[in-house]
Amino acid sequence: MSMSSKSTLTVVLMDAPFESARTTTAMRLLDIAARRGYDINVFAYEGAVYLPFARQTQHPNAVHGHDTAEENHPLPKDWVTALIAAAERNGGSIDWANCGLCVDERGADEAVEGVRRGTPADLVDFAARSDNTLVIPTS
Amino acid sequence: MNHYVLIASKNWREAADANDCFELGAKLAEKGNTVAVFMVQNGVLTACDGAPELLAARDAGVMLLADAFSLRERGISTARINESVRSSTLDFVIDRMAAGDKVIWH
Repeated sequence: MSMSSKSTLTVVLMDAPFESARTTTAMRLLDIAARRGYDINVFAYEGAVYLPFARQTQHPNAVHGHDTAEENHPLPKDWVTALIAAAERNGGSIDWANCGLCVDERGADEAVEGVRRGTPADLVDFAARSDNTLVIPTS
Repeated sequence: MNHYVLIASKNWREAADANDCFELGAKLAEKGNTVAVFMVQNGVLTACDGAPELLAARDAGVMLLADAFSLRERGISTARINESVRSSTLDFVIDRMAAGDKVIWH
């Protein structure tokens, strides 16, 4: 496919939030694709199903003497929401599927809007209809 | 001939297999494939090492790139990276994914 035409990309995420630089890099990659208006599929499994977990909350940091607003702790669920909005704003889309088995194991069944429950079969489907697939595993 | 992008996200100080992707890149290039190794996160530390695996990959014709964001995060100026490595951005990875290259995270 030409780089100038619209692409469909799939990214597979495994890392739980707040634990690895891989999450930041994955979000940066997705942000670039979203700004280009690509159609993006995300299959999140294992700990990554907590990336869009709706009950993430900011907190103060007593060690730094910061209240919640001053600390302004970034939350991955907000990044996911922003990515979905950026894709739509640029004429693309994000189909974010959280592995249902992994969700049930972890009680992570409250996700931000735009995230759906999926199965490993969704990953097969994503890969089959994408121009490319990148798997970002835990180390 | 295939086109490969190998993403080197680790440094040998944290993972014994970190430089394997440079060896894989060299072998793929020697077989006639087009290969780039894109260093990101702690992988960019290898750009400063001049590690034998990195230099062997260079000699095999592998394109060597280091993520500018990861370099800045670690206070590494481009003057400190090996002359065979070029500073780049993650746009390169998305470009190559869109073009259909085989992109492998290591």
